[in-house]
Amino acid sequence: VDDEPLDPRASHIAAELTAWCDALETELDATDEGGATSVELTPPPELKERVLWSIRGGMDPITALRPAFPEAPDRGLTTMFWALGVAASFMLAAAFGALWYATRADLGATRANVAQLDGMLYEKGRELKEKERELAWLKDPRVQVALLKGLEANPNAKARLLWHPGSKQGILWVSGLPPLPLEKSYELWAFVGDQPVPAGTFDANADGATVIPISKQENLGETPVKFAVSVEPKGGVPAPTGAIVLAGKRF
Amino acid sequence: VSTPPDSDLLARIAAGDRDAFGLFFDRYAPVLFAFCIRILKDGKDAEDVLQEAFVQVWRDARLFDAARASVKTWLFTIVRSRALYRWRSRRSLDQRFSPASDESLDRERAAAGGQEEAVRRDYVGRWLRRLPKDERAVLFLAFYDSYTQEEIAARLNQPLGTVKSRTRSGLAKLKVIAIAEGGAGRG
Repeated sequence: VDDEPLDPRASHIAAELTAWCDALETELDATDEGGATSVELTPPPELKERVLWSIRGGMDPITALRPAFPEAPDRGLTTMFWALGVAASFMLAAAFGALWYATRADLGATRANVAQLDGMLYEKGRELKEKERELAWLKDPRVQVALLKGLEANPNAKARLLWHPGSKQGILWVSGLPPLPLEKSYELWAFVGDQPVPAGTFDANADGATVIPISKQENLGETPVKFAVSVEPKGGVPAPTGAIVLAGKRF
Repeated sequence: VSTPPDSDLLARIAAGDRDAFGLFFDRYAPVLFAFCIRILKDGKDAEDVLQEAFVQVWRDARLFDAARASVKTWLFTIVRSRALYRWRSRRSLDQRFSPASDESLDRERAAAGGQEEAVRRDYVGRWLRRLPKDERAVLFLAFYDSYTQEEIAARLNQPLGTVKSRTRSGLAKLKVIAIAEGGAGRG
């Protein structure tokens, strides 16, 4: 990039990358066992109250922080009657305390189980909705199909692409492509006319069969007519630079 | 007074023990708050991120896998991810509400989103490829795949200490490259 004019986007990207570097460096300092002591800064005390309030499920913070039992008034013990009364009270309090402790432990475990089941239920509901959306998507008559064939380097490789011109999303099934070195990834290109537009990167599995959902490609103004896959630097590039390994047209 | 190890505290948190959660908060909030302030340069944002992160700890404690990372690394990964997300959102908001913004400009930006992501990856990839091979390998896994240091060590079959020292030297060089190539640097 030394000879190129400064791209205004580079400043934003560099700032984001520098923030990431700073964060990772600080994290290394803080997590290094036996290394330099990490910087500490006490957060405002109300932050802990807010966090505890959040995990109590929205209970009023004042209520949540109030002691469970108010302090008893300080009264002197002047007679045996009072002494016996206090002793009995202590015994009762101890019994209730033990009961309360056991119940609280049970309640904690039950709450954790309920939270876990809630989480599972939510996940299953989300998966079901996702599957319903996928099914509706596949049944849509506007979905187009493209078959991509392997070129010289991988003649046995092939891919099938389902493309929805309305939502500009797709699903790609790939087989026969070998896994790439660490610094490389496959990149899908959608051709609008003769112009290749990046449509996402992916890595091939060791067994060679991969299903890749293609996220919404807002940058595709028109319906692509051809698709291709090339080997590119990890993360992808704006225009193809590497060898094309798969190519094909849509029906 | 003995202090319970992190793994014990996290197991108790996973079982719904709020006392353990309070101890865990007291143990890590100061260092994480300083960490957030360093990234975000704003106390209010740092508080919000810390609150979100600790609520996530309470919710996800049962998902912690000691084979993948230490408790401390797991915790920092959560906070770093949330802090950087907040950092990006804040910059995005600053730009969206700049005086030059209007609806048509927003539509153009949305339409260019996919291309911009490719440009972002292209720039970062180019800058990463200027690092020496060993440092490049660890930072590729950390940046693109969000691997922890322990996971990188396992993936590359290298000692953890080696991975950490290569990460440190790589980060220092990468920052110099990013600042030189990006002009003003941090905003």
